Amino acid sequence: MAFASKSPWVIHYDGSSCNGCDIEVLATLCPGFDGERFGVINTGNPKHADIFLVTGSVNEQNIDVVREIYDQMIEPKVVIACGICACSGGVFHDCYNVMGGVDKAIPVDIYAPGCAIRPETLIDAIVQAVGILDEKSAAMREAKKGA
Amino acid sequence: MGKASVIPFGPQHPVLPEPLHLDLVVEDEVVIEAVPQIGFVHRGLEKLVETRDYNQFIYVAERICGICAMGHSLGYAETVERLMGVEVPKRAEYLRCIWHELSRVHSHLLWLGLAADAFGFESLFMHCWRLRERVLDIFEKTTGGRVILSVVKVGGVVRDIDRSMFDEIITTLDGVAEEYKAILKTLLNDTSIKNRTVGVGYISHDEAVNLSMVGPFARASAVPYDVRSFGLGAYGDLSDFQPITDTAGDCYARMKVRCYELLQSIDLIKEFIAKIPDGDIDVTVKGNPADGAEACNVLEQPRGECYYYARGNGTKNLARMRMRTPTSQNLAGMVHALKGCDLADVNMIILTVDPCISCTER
Amino acid sequence: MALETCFNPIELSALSEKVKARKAEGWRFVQLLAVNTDEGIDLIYSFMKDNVLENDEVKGLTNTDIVPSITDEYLEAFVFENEVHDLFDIQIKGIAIDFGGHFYKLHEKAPMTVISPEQKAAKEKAAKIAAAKKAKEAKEKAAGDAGAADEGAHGKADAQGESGAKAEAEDKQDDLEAKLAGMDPEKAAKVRAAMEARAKKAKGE
Repeated sequence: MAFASKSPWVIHYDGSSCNGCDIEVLATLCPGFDGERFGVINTGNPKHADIFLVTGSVNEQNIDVVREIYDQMIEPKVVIACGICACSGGVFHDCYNVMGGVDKAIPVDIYAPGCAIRPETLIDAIVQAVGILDEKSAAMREAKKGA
Repeated sequence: MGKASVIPFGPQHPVLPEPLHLDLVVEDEVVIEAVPQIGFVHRGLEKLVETRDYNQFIYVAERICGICAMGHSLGYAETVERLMGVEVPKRAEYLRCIWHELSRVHSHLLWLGLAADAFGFESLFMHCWRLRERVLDIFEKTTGGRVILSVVKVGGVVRDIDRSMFDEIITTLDGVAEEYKAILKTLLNDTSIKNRTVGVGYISHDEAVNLSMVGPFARASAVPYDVRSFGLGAYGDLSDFQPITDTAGDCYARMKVRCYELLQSIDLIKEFIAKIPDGDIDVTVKGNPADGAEACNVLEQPRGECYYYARGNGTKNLARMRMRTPTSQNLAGMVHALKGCDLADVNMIILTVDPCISCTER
Repeated sequence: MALETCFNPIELSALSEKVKARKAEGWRFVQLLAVNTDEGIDLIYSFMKDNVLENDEVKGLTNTDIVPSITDEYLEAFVFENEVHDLFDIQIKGIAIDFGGHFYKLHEKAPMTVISPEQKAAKEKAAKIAAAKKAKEAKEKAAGDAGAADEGAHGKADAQGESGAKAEAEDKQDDLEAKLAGMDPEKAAKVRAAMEARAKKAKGE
């Protein structure tokens, strides 16, 4: 049984988001929708986090930052692209400084659309992410046994 | 004299909801210089006027910033209406102002929660955002969206609010105000909060005027400038409007100004609801902006004065659309306030400026 | 007190003096923006005092003109001047906090001055339609004169019917030409082929 899936800690980073999705991410963890009853805590340290919530698209300046945070996280980790800008660029997909969704920088496990993303969608995404975390964790254990 | 070292702050930081990078030149825990680096949120959306016509661009304008979304759609619509000489019906102006003041209430509650989280008062953060959910419920019931409302269009508004909904809004806001006043009593009288905010990040009146600061950031240094005093739109029908100012010019004063502005906004909403006239909620806009026509407009967003400029070129696409947001004006003031502060106070100062980086960079 | 706005054109050489005068009179700096036009780049400086908002416009600049910075009087302008330099490639001399072109990290230079191929095509299409419309109006005027002359020469009923029908057919053809001029070339070729086939069929019947 994976410990992470009983209480997944999240780290949130805003790529080039308008903030709409960011405040909905925070609202999910506040008493209105109460993500914290699932054990979800918002941490600022990538090394403590299991789930990476990215909002907003990727541009020339922040592609390195997104990759850096992803690299600092420890396996098993899951990436959720929150909001349509993170999935594909959204309304800004043809702007000159937008390279596209977050999958241009890091591998994404779950795409959660919305403009701004609704807290219900985000809770669904986190529940799915926990399932993927379990799978990845089991795969890691198998690999260790094999070696 | 200590050795100077450079500490990078951001772009990813637990207290920052948005990416902002500061290189803090520090000597023995005292910040001597702060060099900002922005550009992480630059999408380049002002160029989209060339591919979206003036009716479609309002959806892009809204998404410049999720917190000030209503303000940007309102400012854009008013500027294009000025450009084309369109007069919006009175009822639409009142509805726009009601939604805009509700937006100010939600923005200040949001800000207060984040500021409390910045100095470690997490339960206050949770209380403010719990109260904010009630305002977001009003948004959802009247417009369908919690954050991005999409309710303003060039020529008026898209939907109406009926009498029973107005009564519900007043009841909800009364409930919010009551609980909020109880929070205010704790917030503004608590010794540990005063220790962390009084005297921190002081900006004098003259410095505020010299650096052309705007918004609550400037009003806390006794600069009595508020665009709502010009009486544009439905604000002209208010019986009496005085901007809230404070003379202390430090973090505590900025917090106080925003806290009282929230209560003032609730009173303004009630006055608008009492005075709203009956009538149409929109007017059909035909034709295109004239070639070479220019218009500019200002609006009081929760963070300060926002300037809009539009130029037409005879087609249905605008030649240029520009939004200058309050935080870009206040960046110089923020850098100035950070000089000479303690490293531990950097969070507090940045958050009392209330930066909205996605607005600044568009 | 209501808001008053106005736009004043100003020469680049007079800019520094004007800004110094405004600072001395107590005007507050509002913003600086740039507009990319066919005739060059316009810079608009906005100032506000009490309830008057004045915009000073410097028109028709290129990237070889050197604009003096106003950060000596108004330090907060450094944000806008760096932005205008990065996005429009305007040279501004003497910015107090100068990022040297690295304010925003972009992967193309001066993106706001870039005109994409689609926009060029759209502009050309609009120009073609305007030209075709002009030609049609000129032709109508000429046909009107010619029709009057024909009437006199050939006798009333026949002449009227013939020249009337001719004028009508010519009109329709002109309308079609105007439409085709504005269309995609492939589509236009298809329409022409369809029209020819129809004409052949009509002749055959």
